[in-house]
Amino acid sequence: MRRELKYLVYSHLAIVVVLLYLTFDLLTLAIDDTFQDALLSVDLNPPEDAPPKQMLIPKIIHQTYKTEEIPEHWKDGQQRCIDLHPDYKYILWTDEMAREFIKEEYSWFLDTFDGYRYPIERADALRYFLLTHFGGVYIDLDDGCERKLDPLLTVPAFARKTSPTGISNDVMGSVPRHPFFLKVINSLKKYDRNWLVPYITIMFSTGPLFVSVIWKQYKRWGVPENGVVRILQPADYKKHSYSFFSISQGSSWHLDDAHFIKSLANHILACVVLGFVVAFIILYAEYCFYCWLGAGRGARKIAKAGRRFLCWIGVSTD
Amino acid sequence: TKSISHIYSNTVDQKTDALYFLFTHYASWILVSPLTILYYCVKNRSQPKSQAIAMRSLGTRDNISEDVETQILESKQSRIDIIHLIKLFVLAVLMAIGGYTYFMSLKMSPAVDIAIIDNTSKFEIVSLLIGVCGITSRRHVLRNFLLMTLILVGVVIVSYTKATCDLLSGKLSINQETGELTDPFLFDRLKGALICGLGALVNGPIIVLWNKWIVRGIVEASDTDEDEDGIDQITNKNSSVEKSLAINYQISLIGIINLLFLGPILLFNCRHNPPTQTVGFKSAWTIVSVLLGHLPMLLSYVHLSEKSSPEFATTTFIGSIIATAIAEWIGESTMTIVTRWEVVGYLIVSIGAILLASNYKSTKHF
Repeated sequence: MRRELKYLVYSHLAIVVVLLYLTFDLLTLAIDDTFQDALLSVDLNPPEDAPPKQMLIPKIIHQTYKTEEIPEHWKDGQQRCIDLHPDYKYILWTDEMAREFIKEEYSWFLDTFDGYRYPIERADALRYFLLTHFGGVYIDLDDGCERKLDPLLTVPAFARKTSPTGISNDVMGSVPRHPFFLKVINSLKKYDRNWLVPYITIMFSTGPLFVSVIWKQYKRWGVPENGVVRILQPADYKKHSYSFFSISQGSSWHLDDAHFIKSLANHILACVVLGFVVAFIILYAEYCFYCWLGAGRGARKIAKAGRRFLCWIGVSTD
Repeated sequence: TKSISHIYSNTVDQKTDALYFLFTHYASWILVSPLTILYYCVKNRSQPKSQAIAMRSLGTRDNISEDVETQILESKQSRIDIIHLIKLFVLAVLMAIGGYTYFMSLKMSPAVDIAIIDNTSKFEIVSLLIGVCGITSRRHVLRNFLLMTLILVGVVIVSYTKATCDLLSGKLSINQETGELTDPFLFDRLKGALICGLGALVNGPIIVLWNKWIVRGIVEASDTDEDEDGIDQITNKNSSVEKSLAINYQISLIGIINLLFLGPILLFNCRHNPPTQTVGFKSAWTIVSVLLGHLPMLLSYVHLSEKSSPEFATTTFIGSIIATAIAEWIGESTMTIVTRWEVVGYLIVSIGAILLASNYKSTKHF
């Protein structure tokens, strides 16, 4: 192999290594290990004669919306949560309250909070701070309560499994200052990037993809004692007689790009094949260019064009 | 692919199954050399010189002198043997990695999906690496590139449109009430495609090393013989047969190495996770897969790379995609719906492959 070709191969290998490093967390999501920390039936539906477990998570329900004027289709779900939990403290956080809270308690984050491009990013970030600060359970407004949340409060923290992998941030609970949520709030600034596509920007800066990646990082080097995040499985989440929640119309922040990205899942093989094809076309085009240069004519033409350019700008007179 | 996919469709998830299939398929490579000898015996009604085959396959001469020089040559020969065995072992391990990912992914995704991604990945990486590493001619690179792109566009069309007509290949719906994906196999298919596609990339280095380490040595030894013997028609024919036998002998050696190192791994695994019973019940399908799929594909690939340029053999990967699609269409005609664009995609792939093959055919080997 010629020397310049060797350099080309090595530089590409270096690019691959860098890309692997940058996307490592995302790649680890391919291994779905949400079952390891699953909340089991015995945790959620303990036998009647079993001694009651100590509740670790404070009895607080947090929900968020722009104002106190909640859309009609979410009112039923919200009311069910309030009615089922008379012994819980219920707080609906409006935008104004949220900013005030961040300003008072987490002023180091205020610039990032104000600088978010999409309001949903602020709503996402807020829930992590609320759980870290007060503890309790955060529930999206489109998630109506179907049964009492008491069994979920017996673990230090929980989130729900999402499809196809990772965890979601629409229902979460934790004790105050749980190490996982501390890591989440400390990572928010680093992940605040504009990925040009709104759906990806939201998902990866504050949304489920972000929280899933942080969860993978959190678990990678061992979880501290009492720091485990238990995972609510899909059947316990919704659509079953024993599920905790029911879903009304949601995803209010989804734009057209979100629908397009979701529709790609219809063609998952085509997406993977396209990735391989694009990579091949780029690499083979480089190889063609190299052959063209190696043939001599290409290099001569480029040198000639370079000389003309230098003459044109007045650097050379030849 | 279809046979193994058929066995997997009736088994529970068991890691040892993939290892078992890997062992049965790669151990079958032992048969390649005897089959080739048998073929030439039947064809020529004579038995080729076994010592000549073995010596030629090591890239050395068979007319070693005696007396004082013999000891020196023998010690040199044993060193060459060890280096050669190490090379074969490296090739065997690389092949085992590629094979394992293939059999692993076959249990997660439908057969045609795996055929598409596996062969596309092999076609791309082999075409690229044999060019970059200087194994092939650099003439008409752009024209060939355009044809390759045409084939790959056809593959993308097939893989995109297949999803609209095959339940297991991507019929996915989004629950309007919850916004959740309701396809339980989505993530398995994604994992299957990625594992298979990335695992198949190992075939690039395999083909390059195979050509550099094994084939080139045999061809050079053969050329030296021809130079010395003079090129008359009979000598040329004999040399060609011996070259072919020598290459196939190497394949069998790799088969033996695979047998020796995969066997203990399989036995060790079976102690903890025995293969599923269905694999045993349906062993006839394994034999079908080995004898009618794996070995003919291997023999055709080796034969083509012997008789023509190495890049010509890469078109077998595209042929394999089409063959799997035809096998599915014949085997599961009642369950397969073919859309217009899928047919268009296959036509583009077929025409592109024929044009590319005819381009490559004119290129001389080495």
